[in-house]
Amino acid sequence: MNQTLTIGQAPAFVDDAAGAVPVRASGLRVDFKGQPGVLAGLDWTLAPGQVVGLLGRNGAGKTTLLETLLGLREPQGGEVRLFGQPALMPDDALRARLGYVPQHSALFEDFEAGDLLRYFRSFYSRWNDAKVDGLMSRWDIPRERRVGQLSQGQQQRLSIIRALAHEPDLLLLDEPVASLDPAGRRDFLRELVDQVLDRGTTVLFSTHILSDLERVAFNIAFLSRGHIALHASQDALLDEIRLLSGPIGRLQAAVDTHGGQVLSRRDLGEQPRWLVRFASGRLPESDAALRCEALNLEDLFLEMTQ
Amino acid sequence: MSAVLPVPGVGGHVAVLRAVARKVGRMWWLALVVLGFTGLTTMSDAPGMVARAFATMTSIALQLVWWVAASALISLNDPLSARLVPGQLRRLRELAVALMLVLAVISGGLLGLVFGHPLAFVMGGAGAMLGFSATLRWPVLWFFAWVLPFVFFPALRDLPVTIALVAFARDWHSRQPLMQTGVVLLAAGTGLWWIFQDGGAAHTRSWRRAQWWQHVMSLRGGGGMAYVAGPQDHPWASLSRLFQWGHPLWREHLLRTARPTASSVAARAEFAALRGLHWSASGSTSILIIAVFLIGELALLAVAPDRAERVVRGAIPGLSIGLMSSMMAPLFGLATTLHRTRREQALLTLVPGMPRGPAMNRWLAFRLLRQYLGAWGLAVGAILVMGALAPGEASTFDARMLGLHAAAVALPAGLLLWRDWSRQVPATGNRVGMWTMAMLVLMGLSGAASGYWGFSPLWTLAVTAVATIALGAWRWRAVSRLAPFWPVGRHGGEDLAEPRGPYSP
Repeated sequence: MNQTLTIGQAPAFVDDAAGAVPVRASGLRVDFKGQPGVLAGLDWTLAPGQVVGLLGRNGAGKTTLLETLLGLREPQGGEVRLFGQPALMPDDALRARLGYVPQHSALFEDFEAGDLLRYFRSFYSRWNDAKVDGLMSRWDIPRERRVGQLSQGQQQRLSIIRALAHEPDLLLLDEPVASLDPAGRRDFLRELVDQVLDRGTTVLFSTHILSDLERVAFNIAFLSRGHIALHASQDALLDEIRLLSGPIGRLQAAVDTHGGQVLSRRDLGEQPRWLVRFASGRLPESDAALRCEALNLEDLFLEMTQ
Repeated sequence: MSAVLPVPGVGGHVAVLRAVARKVGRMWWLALVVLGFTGLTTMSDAPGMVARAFATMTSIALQLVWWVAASALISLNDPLSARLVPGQLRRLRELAVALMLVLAVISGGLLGLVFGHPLAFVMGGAGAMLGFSATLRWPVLWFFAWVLPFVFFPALRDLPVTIALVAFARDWHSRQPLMQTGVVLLAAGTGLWWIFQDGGAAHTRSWRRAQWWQHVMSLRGGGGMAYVAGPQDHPWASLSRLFQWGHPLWREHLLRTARPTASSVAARAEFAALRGLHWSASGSTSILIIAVFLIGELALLAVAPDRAERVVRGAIPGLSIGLMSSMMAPLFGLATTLHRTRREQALLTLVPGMPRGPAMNRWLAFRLLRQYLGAWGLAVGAILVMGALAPGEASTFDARMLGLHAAAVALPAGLLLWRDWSRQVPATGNRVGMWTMAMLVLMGLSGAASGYWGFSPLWTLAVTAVATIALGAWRWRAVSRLAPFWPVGRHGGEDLAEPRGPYSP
């Protein structure tokens, strides 16, 4: 499966010529020494204002993908364009539109929290002091404490504040809530939703916490074997994708009859299991020979990434 | 080590020994240094020179081997394992003492065969090994080991109590050498035994303190862990801030004068990425040390002019070593520091105004070399000023110019800063050791040539300056062709940022 399978809110209609596509990756290939195909000809497009949760197993290449999208890592093949510009050579106007929260938030450890924000403020012409002050106070981060002395959760919150402060149009977050407690995660997600609703920011974030995705990610993408194996709105995923199990002949017949698209096959043993996407309203029914199951996000994650 | 299940008896010891041997095995290149240096001395006509060189170099190499072994052993003595793993502490202690005794006896025996007094050398070797182990437990001892002897030894050595102690030790050695050696080795072994801790709150505190010190040392360019929540209000933390007094001042200046120009943005980015290797930190330390030295010298000249000459001349080698290491710190520490701040670099390459692509390389290469040359110039100037101001006869002037030989070697070595940083892996202790050894050998050759042919080290400096300009012009063309320097190490491998213990070599 070398093509990105996009269902639901397909982003292909967006106007690239006007530079409105926040992210367009084509043919991205990244190999590491001894680990080829971390990204294997990946094609992907994000539409403006989308909130996309990126899922993949450990080591699937999520961080590499985010870094490559931002131009922090040169791919061996392919190209990334952000708002129509090559990601490897962004101009200052484009950079002012980008926000990034890396996976490791213990950064600039020798700066005091307040100094770190002043430091980053010096780079940006636009900086929302009111938002920074509000979040620093709400998230209880002492400005005079060194970053290295903050708890992991506070460091992560500070990293998020730094990324939001210049009000980016494209926000990439690499497991931004990994160190946050449930209250902190909920608060962060609310902030993220506000950001999207207020400014139409395009957000791409990787996470393993599926309940958070269910709460805010309107779109979900699965990274598997170096490709975006599936990118769809959450509703479409739940409504249109089914796990079929039964004899192969019966499975094939169900797919043919209902116009399904097979996403993955596990033909082991007597009960092969196919993950199939059907058009809305054309779902097959379970019977004695065929089992047709709806999946929750966790089951879907396991099926897509195994 | 974890893969080996300890067998009752010596199995656990063997497992630990294997872990230590893996680290010591990386020091194989020491054998080449010993053989190479010994080979050089075969050209000398002096009788016994080869044997003396071999014994001396082997003893130094054995001390370095001990440093690595002791670092490895103490890094295994973390508070949790010490408290929870049965028998682990005893194994570490027994192996440490046994290793120390074996290495001390071998090196002392070798030196004794050539120079005589083997037992005295055994005691000296054991004492040095114990001293190094103590600095691993109490890193602040490095400060006392490097600075204080140079200042106080010349002042203390003529005191009656010092003379009496030395006479007593010599007398005892002449009457009961074996007994004295036994007592000293027993004391060294006991001291080493108690350097290893048994878990608990005190162990945790000292472990954290060691991590914190390693962090401070890493700010000065060494290797080690990322920042740890440490004793921020500890007096030594204040001391570290005092030594880097210019760092926050320069940051404030950069923020106050921030402009959306490439120069201004690169200066701010570089400030965060270089941490303590930034000139504002290293320069602050150098200026403070030089100022303290000069004030001390003036005070001594005013208060005790009869002792001033001896004290000042005794202090100059130590200060020269400090200045030289400050001068070379970027060479040894930049790879580690830049690798450690590569995630910060990733963020900084995204800020508006930061040069990208070939422009980034040109900016960073230019700024790195400029800083290096600035530190180099400051150190050379300080060495010259110290030498000129030191009281005493002019004939001793060249002896005080030891640092100039280091400067002559360090100048062309500065071009190593223009490497392919995108592929740079963090520097290991062994690599730094090899570099240090190479620099020391070149310094030695420069000093020997200067002494043999009787020319000033300033001539060596002039020759290497010309060579540096030529090499720099050639290397500059490659800088633009290399992959963008930041984030450092992205093409160098993916699993290179594993956290290490606070004592890892």
